[in-house]
Parts: sequence; structure tokens; C-alpha cells
Amino acid sequence: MNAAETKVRLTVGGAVNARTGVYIVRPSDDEVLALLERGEYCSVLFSRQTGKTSLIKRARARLIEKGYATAEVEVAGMLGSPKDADEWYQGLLDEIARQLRLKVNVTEWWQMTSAITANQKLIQFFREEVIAKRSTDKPVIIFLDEIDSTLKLAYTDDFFVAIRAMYNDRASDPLYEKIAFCLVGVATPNELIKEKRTTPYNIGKTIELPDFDAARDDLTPLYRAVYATDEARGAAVVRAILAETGGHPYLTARVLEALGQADDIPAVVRRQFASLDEVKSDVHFDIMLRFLNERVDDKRSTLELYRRVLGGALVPDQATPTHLNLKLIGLVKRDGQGNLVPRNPVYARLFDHTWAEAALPHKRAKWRNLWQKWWQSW
Amino acid sequence: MENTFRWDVFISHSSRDKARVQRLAEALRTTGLEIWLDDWVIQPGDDIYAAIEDGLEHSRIQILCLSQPANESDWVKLERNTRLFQDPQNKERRFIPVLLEDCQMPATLRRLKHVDWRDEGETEMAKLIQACTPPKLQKPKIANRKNATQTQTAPPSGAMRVEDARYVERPADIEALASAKREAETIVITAPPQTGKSSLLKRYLSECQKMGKKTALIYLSHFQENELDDYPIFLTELARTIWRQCSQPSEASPITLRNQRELTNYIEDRLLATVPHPIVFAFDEVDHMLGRSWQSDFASTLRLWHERRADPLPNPWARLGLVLASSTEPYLFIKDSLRSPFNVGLQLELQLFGEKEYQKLARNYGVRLAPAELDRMIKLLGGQPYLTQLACYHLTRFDFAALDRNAARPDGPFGSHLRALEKKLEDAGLLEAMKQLASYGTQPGREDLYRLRGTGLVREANGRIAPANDLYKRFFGSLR
Repeated sequence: MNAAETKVRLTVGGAVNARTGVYIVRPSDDEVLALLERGEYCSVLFSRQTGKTSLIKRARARLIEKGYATAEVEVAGMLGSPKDADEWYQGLLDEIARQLRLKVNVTEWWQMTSAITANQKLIQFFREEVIAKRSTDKPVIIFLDEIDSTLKLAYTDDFFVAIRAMYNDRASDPLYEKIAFCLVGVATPNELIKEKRTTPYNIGKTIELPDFDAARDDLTPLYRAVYATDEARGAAVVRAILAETGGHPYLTARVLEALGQADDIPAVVRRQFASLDEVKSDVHFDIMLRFLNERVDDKRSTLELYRRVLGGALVPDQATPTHLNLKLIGLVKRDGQGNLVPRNPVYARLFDHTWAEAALPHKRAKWRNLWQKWWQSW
Repeated sequence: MENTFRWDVFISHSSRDKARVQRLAEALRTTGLEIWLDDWVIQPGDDIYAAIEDGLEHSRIQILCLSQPANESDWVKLERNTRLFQDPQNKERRFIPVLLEDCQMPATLRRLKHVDWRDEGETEMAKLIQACTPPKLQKPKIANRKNATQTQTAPPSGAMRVEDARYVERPADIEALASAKREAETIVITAPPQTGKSSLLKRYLSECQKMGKKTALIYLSHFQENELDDYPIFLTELARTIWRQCSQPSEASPITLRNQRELTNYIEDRLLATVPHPIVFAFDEVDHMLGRSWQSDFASTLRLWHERRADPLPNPWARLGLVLASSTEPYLFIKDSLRSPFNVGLQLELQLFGEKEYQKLARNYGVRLAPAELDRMIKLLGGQPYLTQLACYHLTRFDFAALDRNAARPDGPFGSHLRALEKKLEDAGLLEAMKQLASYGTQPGREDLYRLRGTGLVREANGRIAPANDLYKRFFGSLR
């Protein structure tokens, strides 16, 4: 194979450029679109570098083509992390108003409204300014990307409580069926609302993105990216790579990038991802480790669950924080029978039993964590 | 003689007028004039007096910014006297006083026509630009310049001029220039300090301009400390800098931004909506944003601009290219693990000079080196581009043996560079660690290790670090 023949460049970081990049359509694409078209809430909460942003950008474009009014706010880059809650809320509403071309001065509205709490103001705004003034009968769809960046902001509970309230009130007030939210990021639904005494944000469907599958997905764009002129040869190469990467979008793109002339594919993969030490400078793996170390509350349980999965035990997927976190790190996936299995051979080799055992926190640290949690809960 | 001028304008000013002077310089630069401004030209390690002398010597026009602080400043006096002494008739070269605020005009200057920029008016700026623009057409001027650079009279300092014939291309150059020809992309150029990032950036932008793209070059180091401390002020100044460079000067639009969302919308509604060309924002010295309270937020905004380009729907962001030059891994731009990392765009690592580049550079300077000398020079300088250029410059006057013998001396050919490094390390509390490393190979602790790596003064091999080259090993090893 010839690198020069790879005319199309594969995307390894950030969204796939719709004009110049290679995009693989997966069942999750249609699933998200169908839910949103019906005005259902859905969340794309999944591990990093798996195509979340690309998916919602395409879903949004298709909704617009079909005449839906939509807004997409990437909250980290747009709103940042202001100290003042009002600045965040007004920024969010102003951006939504701007994209929906609403004729409302959000700053004035925010000050003049009779509602008192942020929660009430949000509901009132969505009801009176967004839903009531929409131009079609189709629901207004609001995408919020990088939703995990709200986890460190102290004041965003009101937002999630507000959009959940609108959902729950659909039964009594059909007007709320005319707005739907799609949250996107690397988070579990139950951590979005930080106040533990409040019911968690547990509404709508959470979509997980399946890795590429040659039997299920049309991978022709990938085959052509490898051999522009010989699709069959391209297919053979891609299938050999998928056997190693399990179809993980990032790993697959990385291997394709590194491929040289007439390479032995398993050898390339082993060279590319030789050991955790050698891939440490690769942001992808560093993010996985940082997620485990910085974001997982109960590292021990998470790692113990991982060791069971790795050991081949039958572990049914459940909605516990431990199961969810393990999937968000990206180490495991749900198989066709609803059980957790190692995500792919590359991860299983890098994050093996030896690693999992060494990464286990000491017993004493566990008690310290529990104590800290108890302390914080007061 | 016309062709000895390397700069169009030399700007003398008091450091207390810095913010305003920078606006003035920026406005002049956007018209294509080459500007000598201390902050832009003098690099850490340069001999300041020599650099100023060199700047005055090779500038066609001197602008003296008049203000109360300027009248009191010795520096300004020195520069003024030099110029007036050099050219009492003030005919061949021009000398233009620019009034920044009400002040007592020195007697020697009263007979000269001045530009009144007290209220930063557009018409006065237009007059100044008119006065600074060379009488000859643009094209022969560039041709003359090329000859001028080949006279090789000047020591290298800072970024090289785009048309400098001594420039040596590396693989990253070729990739970058190819990208300049393509549709808008994001590029991150990474390399240790003083290894040619700014020069590459300038060449990249020059190539973009040839393709009909509008460009804005943003030096994060040119922002004032108070501008960097206050996020809204930084965003506002950034928007103004970009606007000045990408739009017509007459379309000045005074704005005040409160947050990054307003900046993003300003770019979409004002800039991309009115400028039909492809646009490139080039951020040099991105490292200057590290450690600011807004670092991650701003980096997320840059990432957002990149991501908008990916939208399937036709949108103006597809016309906006981004290029960032940094000594730091882009991964570190976004610190927290609660948002996507800065993992976007094409990352170009600018390699140090190898044997091939050494030979080219020596040839460009007209320097002959025996193969053994070439080997020793590579070991001595470790492929550090700035040092290599400086060495070639000195080799036009001394032989290699002399250069090698005196290399590590504080008063030697690299003396001012080395002394500045010593000072920098001392200020950072890293000097002792560097001395130990140079003398005994002692590995510093984790924290110092990371910080030393960021200076570009060490290299890594087999999990250990060592001074980046023999010169640093000798110099820091000789310090007591």
C-alpha cells in the first residue's frame, strides 16, 4: 500500500469535516435522528474520540433540511466557565436565541421577567420565547455539546432540572412536546445534576456509539481512503485492521495513517501500540488514564469490575456508575447479548491484568475516599 | 543607499507608551511595511544596544513617539541623538515625530513636520502611512531587499524575513506551505524556543497571502500584562488586532467584548460576514496563554472555531484557517479532563537542523567547513537553528577553531545568548539543576525535569535528559 495513494485524510481529533473527511454512518446516526424528529429527548454520552460531535452535526444538518428549527451550543468553547451563574445562563439563552433568530433581547428579558429563580426563568424562556414563537409545528431541537464541562460549574443544576421539568410536564401540557434537548459529552446522566438530594437527570434515551463493523456498516469510504482505485484490496486491509482495533474509530484511523507499503497489519498494530509506556504521549490513552484517575469516584470498584470483564466473566451491563464509568473510559463495550466485554484487542493488550492490578488504589486510599465523601456530603 | 535598508520604519518610544505604540506599529505593519519595534525584533539573549544600533542603521524611517514619559526617557534621547547625528540633513532618510499626547516638543524637532496622533485618528494615520511608504514601487523594492540580505552584514536575530535567501527549509516547511495552498485548516507548529517557529509562521502567512487569503498575525507576547490578566480586555484587544489586519483600515469598528461567545459572534457577524476572502489567524507564542485563568476556556474557543469548520451545512467558518505556534504540547492547552482536549488539526513538529540543513546554511552564508568541522559543529550546537545561524554569521569572520575555542565563554560569540539563558534559568529557579545536569549528569526531580524540558535547553535519550548540546554542557558546566 502506498501512503501517497491515501488521498483522503482521516480525522483523528475533532469532528470529521463534512466536505473533506471520511465519515462512516452507523446505526446510531439513524437512531438519534429518528428520536429527535419525534421530539424525543436523547443524550449521546460516550467515551472520547468516537464520533459524537460528527454525529450530531450531521443529525442537525438533516433536521434543518427537513425544516426543523435547531440550535447547537458547544458549551465549553461558547460559554467557558464564568464565575457568575447569570452570565452562563444568559449566554446560553442568548446563543440559542441568536441561532433560532428570535427577536428577543435576552439580557433585558432576563432582568424584566417575573420569574424569580434561574430554574423558573429558563422554563419561562423556553416556553414563551422559544416554543410559543417557533415558526413551524415541528419541535425545536437544542443540541448541547461538551456537556461534561458543566460538571465543574457549581450553578448548572438549575438548567438540567429545568429541562427535566419540561419533559416531565409533557403529560399535562403538550406544549412541551415542541422542544427537545440532545446532550452530548463524556458523562453519566446521573452526574449532571450535582446536588445528590435532587432526583438525577434520568430522562430520554442515552445513545452509545457502536464501533465500526464491516458486517453491519458501509465502510466503502474507508476502503477508498486506503486504495482509491481498488476497493476490494482496500476492504481486505480495513478488515484486517478492524480485527485488531475492534472498529474503534480513533484506533482504526491511527493504524491506517501509519500503514506503509505491503505491511503485515498485526505487526503494524503491535508496533503502533506496543506498550502503555510507549503510547503515553498519545493523547488518546492519556485521556483514558486521566478519566480513571480524575473523574471516577470509586476507582477500586471500577477496576475490579474491569478485571472481571477482562477475565472473561459473564458481566451483564447495568446502569450503575461503575458500569457506566467503565464504558465512558472506553475500556469495555456491551456485546449483542447485553454483556460487557473488552472493547478491542489493542486495549485488552495495553490495559491488561498486570496493569489493572497495579492501578488498583491501596486499601487505605479507599477509606480516605469514603471518609472524604462522607465529609463532603455534610 | 536604498538597498541597505532592512526595515522601513524604526520606532523609538518610551516603554510607558507601549500599548499605544504597539497599536501604531500594528497599524503600520498591516500595510506591509517592515517595522523595527524592540519587542518584535529583540529576542532574549540579544545584545540590546547592538540590536538598536543595527536597527537604526538599517531603517529608512525613524518614528519618534513624543509624550511626556518619552521626553524624560534616556533611551529615547539616545536613539534620537544617534539618528540626528547620523544624518543631520534628514533628507535621504526621513525622521517623523509622532505626537502621542500634549507635551513640550524638543527644540531640535520643532522645525520638522509632525503627525498628530493624540486621538489616534484615521486621517493622521493615513498621512503617516503615506509618509512611510517608500517612493519606489513594491516589486523592485523586494528585489533590492533580497540583494541586501545576501550582503550578510547583519547577525541573525528573531524571526527571519520571508525573502531572506539564507533561510533553510525543513520538512515541516514543506508541509506547512502545502497546507497554505489548501482550503482552511488548523495547524499547530511545535518546537522548542528559538528554533524557527516564527520564521516558519511568517513564510506560511506569506504563502497564504499569495493564495489571496487575508491574514492576521497575533503575537501573544505583545499583549500587555494587564491585558492578559483581564479576559474581556484580552478578547477585545484580540478582536481589534484581528480586525485591523483583515479589514480595510477605514472600517474601524470600536467594540468592547465581554466574553468569548461575543468574540466568536463578532468574528462571524462582523469579520466573516464582511470579508469575502479566506482568512487565516496565526497565533505566535501561544505559550503566553499558559497559566492564565482563561487558558482552557480560550483554547476551547479556538477548538470550537475549528469544529465549526466541520459543519455539514454551508457556513462561513469553512473559510477560517487557524495556525498556532507553540513551544508547548497542544495537549496542555486545555487543562481539565472535563472537556475535549486540544487534539485537533495538523501537528507539525519543527525538527532541529540535521547535517543537510547545516550544509545548506553554510553554503547560504558562503562559509566553508571541513567534514570534521561540520561534525563538531553539529555536536557543539545540537542542530539549534538560531545558534547555527549565529555560528555561520561568525564564521564569515573567524575560522571554526576560534569559534569552537571561545564558544562557551561569557564574552564569546554566543555570550549574550548564554548569559540571557543563565539569567532566565536563575529567575525560574532552575539554574542549579541545569548546572548539576551539565557537570555531573544529575537527573533533576520530576517538577524541575518537566520545567527544564519546556526551556528547550535539554534533550532526552533513553528516559534520561542531558544538555541539548555541547555548548550548553560546556557553558553551564563551567559556571561556579
